[in-house]
Amino acid sequence: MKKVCFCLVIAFLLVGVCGYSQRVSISGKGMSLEKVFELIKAQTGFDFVYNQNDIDKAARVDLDVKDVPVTAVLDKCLKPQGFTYEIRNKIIGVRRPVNRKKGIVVEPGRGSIDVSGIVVDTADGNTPLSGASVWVKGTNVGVMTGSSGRFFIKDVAEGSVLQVSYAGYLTKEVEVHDLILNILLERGSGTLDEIQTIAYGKVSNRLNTGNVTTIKGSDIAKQPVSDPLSAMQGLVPGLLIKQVTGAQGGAYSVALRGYGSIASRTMPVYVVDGIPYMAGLQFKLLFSESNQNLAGGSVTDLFNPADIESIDVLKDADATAIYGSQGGNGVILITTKKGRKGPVRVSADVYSGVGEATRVPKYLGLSDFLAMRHEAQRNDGISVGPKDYDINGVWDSTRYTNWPKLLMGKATRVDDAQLQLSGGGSRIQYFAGGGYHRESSIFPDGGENRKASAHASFVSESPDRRLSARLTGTYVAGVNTIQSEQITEVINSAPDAPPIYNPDGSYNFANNTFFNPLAYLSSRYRNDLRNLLMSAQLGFHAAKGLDLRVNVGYHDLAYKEFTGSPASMYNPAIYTDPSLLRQSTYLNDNYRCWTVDPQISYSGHVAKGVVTAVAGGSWQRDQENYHGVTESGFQSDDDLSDPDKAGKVVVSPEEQIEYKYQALFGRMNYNWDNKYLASVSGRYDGTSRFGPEKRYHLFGSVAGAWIFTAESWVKKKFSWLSFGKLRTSYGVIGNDGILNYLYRANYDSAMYTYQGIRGITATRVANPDISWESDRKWEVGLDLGFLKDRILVNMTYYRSKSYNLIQPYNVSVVTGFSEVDKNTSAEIGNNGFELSVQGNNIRTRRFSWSSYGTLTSPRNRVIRLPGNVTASSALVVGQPVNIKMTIPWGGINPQTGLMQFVDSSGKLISYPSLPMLGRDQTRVISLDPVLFGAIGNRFTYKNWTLEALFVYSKQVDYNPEFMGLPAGGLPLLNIPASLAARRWREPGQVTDVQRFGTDLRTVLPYLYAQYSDKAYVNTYYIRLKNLYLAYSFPKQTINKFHMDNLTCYVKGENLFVVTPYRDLDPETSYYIAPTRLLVAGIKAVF
Amino acid sequence: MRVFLVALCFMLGACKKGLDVTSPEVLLTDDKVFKNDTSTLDVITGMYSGLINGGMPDGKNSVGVVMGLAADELKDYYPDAVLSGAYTNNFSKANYYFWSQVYSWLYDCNAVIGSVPASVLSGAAELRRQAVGEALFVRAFLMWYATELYGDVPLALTTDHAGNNTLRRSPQASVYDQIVADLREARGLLGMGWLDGRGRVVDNRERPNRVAAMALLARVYLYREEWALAAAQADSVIGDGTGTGGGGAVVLEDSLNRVFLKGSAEAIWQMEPGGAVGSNTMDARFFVDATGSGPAVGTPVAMSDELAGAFEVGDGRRRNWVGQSVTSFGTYYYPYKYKDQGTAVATEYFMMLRLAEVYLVRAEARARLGDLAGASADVNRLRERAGLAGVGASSLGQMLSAIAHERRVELFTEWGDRWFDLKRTDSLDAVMGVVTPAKGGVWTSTDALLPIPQQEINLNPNLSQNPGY
Repeated sequence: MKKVCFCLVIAFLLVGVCGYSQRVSISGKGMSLEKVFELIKAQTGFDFVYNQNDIDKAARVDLDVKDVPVTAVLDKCLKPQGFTYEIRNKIIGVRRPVNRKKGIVVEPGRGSIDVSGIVVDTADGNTPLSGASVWVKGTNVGVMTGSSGRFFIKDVAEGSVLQVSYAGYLTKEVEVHDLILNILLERGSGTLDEIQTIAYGKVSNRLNTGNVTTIKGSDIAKQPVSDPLSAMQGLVPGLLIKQVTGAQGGAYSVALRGYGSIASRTMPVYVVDGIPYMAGLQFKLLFSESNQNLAGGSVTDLFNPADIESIDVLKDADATAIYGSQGGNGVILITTKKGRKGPVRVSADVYSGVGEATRVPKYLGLSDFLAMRHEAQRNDGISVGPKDYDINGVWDSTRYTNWPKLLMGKATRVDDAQLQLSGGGSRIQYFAGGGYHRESSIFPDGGENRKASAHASFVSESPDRRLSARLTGTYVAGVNTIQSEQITEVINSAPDAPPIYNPDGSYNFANNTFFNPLAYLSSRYRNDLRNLLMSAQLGFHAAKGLDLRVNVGYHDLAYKEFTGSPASMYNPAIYTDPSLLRQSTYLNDNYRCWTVDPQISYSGHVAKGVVTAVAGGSWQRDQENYHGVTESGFQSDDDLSDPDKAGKVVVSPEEQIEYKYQALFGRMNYNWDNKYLASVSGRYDGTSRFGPEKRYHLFGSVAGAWIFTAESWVKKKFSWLSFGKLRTSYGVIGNDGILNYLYRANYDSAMYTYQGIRGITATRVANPDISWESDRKWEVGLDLGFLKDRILVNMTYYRSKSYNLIQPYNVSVVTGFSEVDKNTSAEIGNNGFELSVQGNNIRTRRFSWSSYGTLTSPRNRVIRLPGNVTASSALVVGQPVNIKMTIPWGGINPQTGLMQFVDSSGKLISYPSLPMLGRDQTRVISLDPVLFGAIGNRFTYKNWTLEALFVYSKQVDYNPEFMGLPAGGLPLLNIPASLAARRWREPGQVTDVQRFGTDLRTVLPYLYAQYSDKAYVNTYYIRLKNLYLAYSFPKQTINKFHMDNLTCYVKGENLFVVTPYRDLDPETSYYIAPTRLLVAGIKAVF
Repeated sequence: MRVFLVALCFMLGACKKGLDVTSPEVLLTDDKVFKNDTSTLDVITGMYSGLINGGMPDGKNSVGVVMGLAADELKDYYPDAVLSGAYTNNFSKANYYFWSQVYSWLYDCNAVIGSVPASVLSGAAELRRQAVGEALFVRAFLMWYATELYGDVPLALTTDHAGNNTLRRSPQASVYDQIVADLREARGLLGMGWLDGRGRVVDNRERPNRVAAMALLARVYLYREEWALAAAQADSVIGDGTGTGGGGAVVLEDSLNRVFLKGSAEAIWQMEPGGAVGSNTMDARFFVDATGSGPAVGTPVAMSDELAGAFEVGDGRRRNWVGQSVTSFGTYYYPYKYKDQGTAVATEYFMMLRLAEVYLVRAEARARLGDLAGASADVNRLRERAGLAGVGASSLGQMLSAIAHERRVELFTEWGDRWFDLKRTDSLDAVMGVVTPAKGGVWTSTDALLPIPQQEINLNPNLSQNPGY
């Protein structure tokens, strides 16, 4: 904290330094002109530009002036000698009058001049661009602009051409005739010239040697989502984002270019404003397994999407090697909003809307259900028994409850409000924003996810622009009370079930005949999260081309989860003492992370190219404290959240995890004439996750790119090709996303208490030899631009191999354990093809149409697997990591109506012969998507904007027919209507759904079928992920109200899906379906 | 690149020392756990909860049940991978039996013992003295069962996985030496009081103390036939037999039905059950036929006819410690030392060591030392309690067989005592040569030892197999 404050103080101090005066006092005799210039510079800060030869030859002067304007002194010294001068941007150009004529080739050394100038942004005409490259075309001469955008080149032949380029701006060529040049650079409008944030720097897409995809905050804002990950789905080739559960605040699975590890983390690392985000987090966070609907939660839900300026996804070795061991699974850089120069801008954005689950399975209605039950009894040749409450008259078989609709059919509500303020002068810019987001769930008990957030940023620099400081802070407070019980499991309750409540309001268990699904929902859940992210950056422009920077970051995350099980969840018939059932558990987790990253960067010319280099260090320290409390023995359900009323409290020992990480890194880029680009980067990493001898490792990459459209022969021959870049990169990167302390002997809280004390138990034997998992990556990419870059195509092929993978290795139990984690010779490979296309199809004054599309075709496989390795899941060499071994399903026997299986000898078997688990699981099913991506279109007409984003995926998914126990006809259990319609009815009928039945003949095959390939389906979906329709009021109308912008909009999320997948959502399958949302809102900018 | 980085290193003033990632601050890794008195003892507490829930002491796969089946105490009525093999004296190489549990808890003991330097033990760190004392005791306790069950066994005394993964089996004599050394050291470290996991004196005898070390040492000396040492250790446990000397409050319970209760005065070390199966012992759940319908799939075992018939007429232990179910298929007897199957409140604790055994150890040692009167006094102490008349002492042979009988009916189904007794007295071949064929198996002398699990030999070729497997 202290360090952050310190940086802030510096930032404000810088503002106070005052400017130079423009009046001078000089007295002296026989001074050379050079001496006079020096004195003037000292008093005014004005720089001089002149030809040394001319000035050397000039006569000496006598001066004695006090507090006179600079021009007066200059007039006095220069005019008599025939010199002229001009002042521009604090530069004074001095020139001997020569007879100039354009186009005349001057002799070297005679017609040459010293050129000085400033490069500024055309947008406001006064933002200097530091680090721009100024090049004398056709020579080896070039310089970089300094911190105030200035440059100076000696001896430039008159009439030669200066080529000025800067990342994100269009390159400009200027002919030299004047001593002083004011060069205005225009921001590039196309994607090629967009600035991409990369590791420790920025670069334009055009000149990037690595593979980086940028998502703009404004695109994220078009989706009414709480988690920015949701808005990125499909947009980044190679990045698979899958919603694990549709529950509000629930988990996403994120994998960039497949799985590079078996036992360790395969998620990309997040870096927010240069600060690693939760890189050292142990896996306890976020949500415990007690809330199955949230499936672990999402670390990115702790962001307010409105605070995000852009997200850059770094994919290949070139882009990520500088992150060394942290970059093995890819890096996602999040840049938050900063203040911009200009008058105060206030923007308010409010929306509100409703939603529902995209899919709620349709189960049989009352009469069909009863018919099914009777058919099942008939098939089995048995009569209705005393426990068949649903059809024996115990339950009122005319009552109807639509369980799916009741349990997951509630309309949700979403509200969001954002207020942002920004502005600033040339020295200090500020941004402040606050947001609130709330989304209720589809469950009947009213759980919801809500968060409030604040974000502020200050950017400041000293008048000479040598010192700069930036302070950014984000705070998010969230509460999630979404139901923790997995409700999809009870929607198959009988539709003629008794009433849910007794007359006194308690849950009805109908004399112990009814398992009441709503009672399940009386469990309580709440988690509170507080997330504080702060970063400060201090920069110092040390010399021309040389910058020093230090980034300091602090992250503080506090998490508290409460789960309460009231006695009302249980059928009173099964217990005598309700106080034995009541239980509360608390999980408390505190995570803090400090980072300090000093850097030094240099840019300059070497030979005929521009060199940019950055080097630095990174120090990170994470600490996580975690403990659980279990309370029981409550006298009343109402007391569950009151620890004082617990009869028994067991506190687990506090687990404390510390992670330290240090690195030195460097990167050097070389740009030869915007034609040949090369890059080398490396990182020397040390982490506390490994034993003392195994902590340090060097990672690195090399990359090169060739912009072949810069070659004149290409330009001539392929004039329709406006841009073409061929690039490749190769590198070795690590994965330290492994558990902390694998190298040490580990302990954990014991499962049971002894003498009322929860002891600790050994969980892992020490293995000091454990070390880095590594990943060798290679890729080749082709970027093409057609029709003046109106159509951009990017194609990439990548291949990577992960090795030295950490796997549990079998050992003799004399060691105390049956396995030890070791680096083994196991290897995994990933390769794939990625494509993205962007097109500005039509652009007229009133109407525009642009499109974009992405496609990813990934492949993952286990290359090598040593013996003696225990794998948590089945692994097969040559197959992907994410597979299931299944029994081949043999269809429905047309004569008996029962399922058949194919055993390991290829024989078709059916009940009473049953397959054997293990032996007969011979068929491999891969669960990874084969193809995924997105297609978007954007139309504008006058003040209207319409955008539609479709995402698609082709994959193998869980067969929805196998959710729960779908054997049709079992007592008290319903099945999906689509399934019942396809059932076997009579001998000779060929179908794929077993006959109805109630006994082992039909139930056992169903249980085995869950291990068969029938439990998976090859499917696809295309979803209208997002629809955005907006109307902006004309300027002249709203200007009257002092508004800059007023936009009304409608946003839709997950509006419809086209898929052959039935009953459940194809993305989340067994979990809660995503929510379909429709919101309307208004945004006003003052 | 490296040169560049080294240069940068100097620039930033970051020498190799600055880059050193120091040992992390964490409670749950060995370096932190063993820095702290309380958490060191917590490892032992965690080990106890694992031990009592792991199945080796009580319940279906306990030493008592498996070795009771292997001997002549129990009968198996339903096929079961572990129990049926034991019952027919046909132990399987594929089964681990007690191997993994012994070495699993041994690891915790070794971790605690290896973590505390001698200087700390002599200092004021009482919790750590307790932790190391208990760890040494439990290590000896486990190794005693390991060597009696498996013969020569690897002596794993450290937590070094690479070393332990290639250990050879140590001769039984060396294992015994280690057990004696551990127990003597434990005896010196542990106090006379019964403590809890925070070093506080408590009512129940849930952790081993100095008395436990002496009692186990008495047994070990007996097995080594060091009679004088055995008698001396037993003396110091029993004291004057009224609870005022020696073992303090350890005295025989007058009522047989109080022996296995929580708070039994006879207990030297009892374990608190609880955890997976509720609050009472797994033995009660496994043996007691609450429905009275005879053996069933989950509770497939009943008492053997040999054991049921071994009790003298009028033996109170037959009345109080043996249950019976009369069914249409016949009458079944079952061990009824533990009676309470309730899951809410613990009324019974599982017995690890009790005074009655120490009396029997002393009786045998005294008899071997020629003190037949003293021997019969000890035996008769137990017989009186069971409501039987005392036995006289005319010869050593008579005395020894009286003691063997007394052990059989006093300690039946407790930790496989009968099996180890038969083995110790070289009576296995004689007894099992008759019993095994009757159980439907074939007895060979090599069945005296369990096989080393084959998978262990596959993983560590330095391990040899016992003969006959």
